[in-house]
Amino acid sequence: MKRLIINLFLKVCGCILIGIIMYYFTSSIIISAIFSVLLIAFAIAKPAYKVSNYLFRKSERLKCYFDFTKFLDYIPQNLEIVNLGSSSGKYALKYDNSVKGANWALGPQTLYYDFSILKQYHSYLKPKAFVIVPLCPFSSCIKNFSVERNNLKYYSFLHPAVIYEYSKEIHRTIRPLIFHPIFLSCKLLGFKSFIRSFIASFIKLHPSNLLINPMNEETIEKDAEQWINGWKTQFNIKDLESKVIPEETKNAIEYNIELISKMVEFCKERELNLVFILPPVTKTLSSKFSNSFKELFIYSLFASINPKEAQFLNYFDDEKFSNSDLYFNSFFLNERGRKLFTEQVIKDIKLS
Amino acid sequence: MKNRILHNGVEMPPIGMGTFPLRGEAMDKAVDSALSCGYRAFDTAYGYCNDDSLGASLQKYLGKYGLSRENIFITTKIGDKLDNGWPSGNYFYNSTSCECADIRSIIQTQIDSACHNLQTNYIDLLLLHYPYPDYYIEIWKSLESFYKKGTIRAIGVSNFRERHLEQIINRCTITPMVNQFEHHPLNTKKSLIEYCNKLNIQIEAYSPLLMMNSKLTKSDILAKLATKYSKSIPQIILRWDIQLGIIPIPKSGNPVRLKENIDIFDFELTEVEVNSIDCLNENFKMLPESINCPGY
Repeated sequence: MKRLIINLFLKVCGCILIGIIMYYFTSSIIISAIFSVLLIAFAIAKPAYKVSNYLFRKSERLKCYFDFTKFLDYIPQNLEIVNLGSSSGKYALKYDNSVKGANWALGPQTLYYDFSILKQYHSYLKPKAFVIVPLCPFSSCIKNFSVERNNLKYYSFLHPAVIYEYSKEIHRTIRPLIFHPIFLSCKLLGFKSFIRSFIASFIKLHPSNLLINPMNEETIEKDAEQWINGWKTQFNIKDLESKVIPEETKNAIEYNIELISKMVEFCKERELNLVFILPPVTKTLSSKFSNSFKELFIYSLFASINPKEAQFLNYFDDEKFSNSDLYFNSFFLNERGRKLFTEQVIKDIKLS
Repeated sequence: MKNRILHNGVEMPPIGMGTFPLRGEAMDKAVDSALSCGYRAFDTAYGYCNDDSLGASLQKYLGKYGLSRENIFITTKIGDKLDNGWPSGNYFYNSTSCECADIRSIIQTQIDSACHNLQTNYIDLLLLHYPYPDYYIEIWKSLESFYKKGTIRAIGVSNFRERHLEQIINRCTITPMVNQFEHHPLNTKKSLIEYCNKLNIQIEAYSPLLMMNSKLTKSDILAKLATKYSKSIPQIILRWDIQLGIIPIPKSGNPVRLKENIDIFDFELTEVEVNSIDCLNENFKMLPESINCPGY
């Protein structure tokens, strides 16, 4: 990196020097300036792209948006604990140096891809490592994404055999972009959204990295309502109290129950400790879910699982995490919340 | 240099030459040097896409050293196809990425292609490259039937752990003759070695020198042994393999290194020294298996 910057600096100096020499011969400041600028643009295009890609991969803030690049970078071996999961997992856990851990969650993500990632990356785990699968209230209701864009990222780091309804054509489009994460992210997010996130990441801290909740009581309430309404629409559920589940959702629940039992079997064979967790949410959000909903949509997933083979730790309404200051909206933990919650999980699974 | 005897009586040279990713002229040069300094075993695979190069090079140079096909030992592997170096998921998965679900016909095609490319009418050792989770038992059963036909002298597996071998032993009729896996001082896989030894499965080590990872070149233990025996660190490591009863298959295209790698039969490490190298283990994997074979 240092060499690249020095190289860049020397190239710019060289271009300016050529511009000065040109001015000496043409006496036209405009012509020599335009010439110099063109030369500089030409000389720095490639290294500047390399630097951007480097910053892109290394920037913690950018990783909030384009988190799949973690699978394209160096992955440490002999990990003691990893977590999978969707955004609720991504914002729930962060490992410090006391354990050798990695957060493999990607938002958004289905249980199918949690299992795919585990299948492909479990060789990086230490024997008897802990595999944490964080769930969100509606994890059971989704089989796979209806939006194709959410599937595309997996072509950049997963083996074809574990990609849902794999397509060779998509693979051919995505593969060449793997070593150009800027282009890849642009392709995955769409141009507008990419530019917005890219700029935002440089001008302000992603809210998930805050130590406080930027929302007040009123906005948290509004945010919680938004989440609930979004889920209701997504899963075609009119009333969260109702015991009547749409057929499609019922199928998805059955599919995920089967998937979970396959995960249990998989971890058992490989001597991995599987732990499902339901991370905490703000009181405002948790109050929107009735007990009958939790029974039907969450706990039913584990009804057939032997607790000796996989633990289920429920923090959804945990009083220790009831302070809304530990979140950055109504749903996800912020930097401070993540630290506290990760410590709690590590303590509960008796890792340290 | 004493050959190893597999449990079906087939003799196998105690050291071999890995060939991935050699091709064309590089393969020619390497095979020429290897034959000249005594290598008699060569390792390739369907996925390496270089068996045609190996076949052509052997054809070109065997006569030069007064050798014939019977004097050399060729290993190849049944497996998935690589697409520009990436696993393609084309074969042996229960997935939409697979083109064909007929295991037997895929194996038949790969064997035919190997014989054609290697310019031979038999294969000395045919390995199953990975324990493809959906089908490895079925693949092994097919390999058993091809072995019984006689065009393959020995069958074995690669990258198999105890749990995979246990399934084979319980559900199939032939115990693999060889298990080839990543083995070097930073990943000693003690329990797997013990397990294979118990079943009389010959172990082959790929990446035995770990591309001379800095942890090996900077190891005091290895450096001291190299000084003591006036050998290089790679020679000490390969000797360690030999004394553990393991067949190493280092890959090199460099004639000097090829010669150095086989010049390991004129000294012997003590038991304490062998154990001291074992202590370098940190379960480090150059090729984490599940990356190439998800669900491994």
